[in-house]
Amino acid sequence: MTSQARKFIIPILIFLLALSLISANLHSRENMSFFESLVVGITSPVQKAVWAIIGGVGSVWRGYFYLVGLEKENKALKRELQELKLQMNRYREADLANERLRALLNFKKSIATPLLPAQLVAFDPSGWFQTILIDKGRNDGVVQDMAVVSSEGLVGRVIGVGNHHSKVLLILDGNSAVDAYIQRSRARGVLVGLGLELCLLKYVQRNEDVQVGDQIISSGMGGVFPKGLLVGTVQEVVRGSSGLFQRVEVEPAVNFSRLEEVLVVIQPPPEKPAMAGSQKRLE
Amino acid sequence: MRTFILYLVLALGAYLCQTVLYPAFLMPELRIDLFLVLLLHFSFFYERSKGLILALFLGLLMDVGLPLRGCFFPLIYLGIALLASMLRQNLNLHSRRYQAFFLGLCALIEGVGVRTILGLQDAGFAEAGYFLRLLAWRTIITALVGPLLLAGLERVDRYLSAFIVHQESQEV
Repeated sequence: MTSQARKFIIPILIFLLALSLISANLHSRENMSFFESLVVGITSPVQKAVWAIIGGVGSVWRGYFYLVGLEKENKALKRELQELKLQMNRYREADLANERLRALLNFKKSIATPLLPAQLVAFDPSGWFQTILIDKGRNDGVVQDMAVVSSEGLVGRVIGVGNHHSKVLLILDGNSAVDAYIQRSRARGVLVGLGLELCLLKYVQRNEDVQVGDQIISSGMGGVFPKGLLVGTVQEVVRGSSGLFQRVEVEPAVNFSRLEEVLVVIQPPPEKPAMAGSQKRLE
Repeated sequence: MRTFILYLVLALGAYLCQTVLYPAFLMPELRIDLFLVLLLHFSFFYERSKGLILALFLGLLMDVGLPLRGCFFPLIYLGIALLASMLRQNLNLHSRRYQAFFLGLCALIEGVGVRTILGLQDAGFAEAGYFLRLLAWRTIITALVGPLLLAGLERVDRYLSAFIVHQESQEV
């Protein structure tokens, strides 16, 4: 046999062997051959072990990176949550302000006189009086003795005016006096402050019909406060065994501890009676 | 001068506290007059003239927003500053007990003064009972809490003087 013939014979034999193996496997596909079983039997435990190790390391590795990422994500989410909470608080505050302003707007429409909205700046520093400072003053058209109201009712009157701020005496103060009457029975009296969140309707005659829950309305007498504004509600009525008047305690309609925005009633203050001397000079 | 400026800043802080934080968080009975504490501290530990100037400033500041005429608070604070500067030679005002007594006394003087001026204005509190209760509570609270605040101010003073000495030594 020449060397050239050997060159052809060996590849043909290998080809035939492969062909016979393939054809043998085609017939018994469901079962492994002995050789395969042997190889698989030997290698599979090692493979399993290696895969287990690789899988373990891989999962630890992935878990580590995942945890690192998770921590970062957690921080970012917490920050986002805080921002959202802040935003939500702002929205809630805006919502409440919106409600208050809407109530003020409705109230403003219900009153014929022009009203100037103002913001509460500060309370009385001494704690002995019931006054507030508001952020509207002379430059905005505020003058002394103008009434100050809120959507809930009467707040007080202006007692001092600066260029950009005004001092308001609340109806709770002992210096305040408002001519008022009881809406149901039309019994008249003068509402004075007690220094705390309570007022007293003074000079209501004993025989007048006053009941707990009656509403007190400003009478408009004196020209400072507009007529018909809600001032408060009767909380307690005490008729003593003697005396001309009965004691009527009134809870103000306005919640002064939650006061934030007020309206200044822009109307000219009541004209004070001219002195005889000045009258003569004018003449 | 630095001390005086610091006390002016503290006075403004106290003013903000009394006009904004007090009404929001404290009952009227518990509202201690921080100006009084500042003034007494200054009158106890500094020259009389400085105490009087601070009294005038604090009084004018307090008068902002009050329905009073005739500079009531400057007058009452000047009186208290004068009294404190006179008494500091006779009393051991470093003692907390004396401080408590004096603070309570000043709160009482202030309250009675307010009542008197309101009476003169023909207004006043309609209910004497409420006023007396308020006065009693404020006197007690001032006597109890005031010395603690004074102690805090003394500490601020110490820090400030140490800071000034340090700065001066550095300059030298």
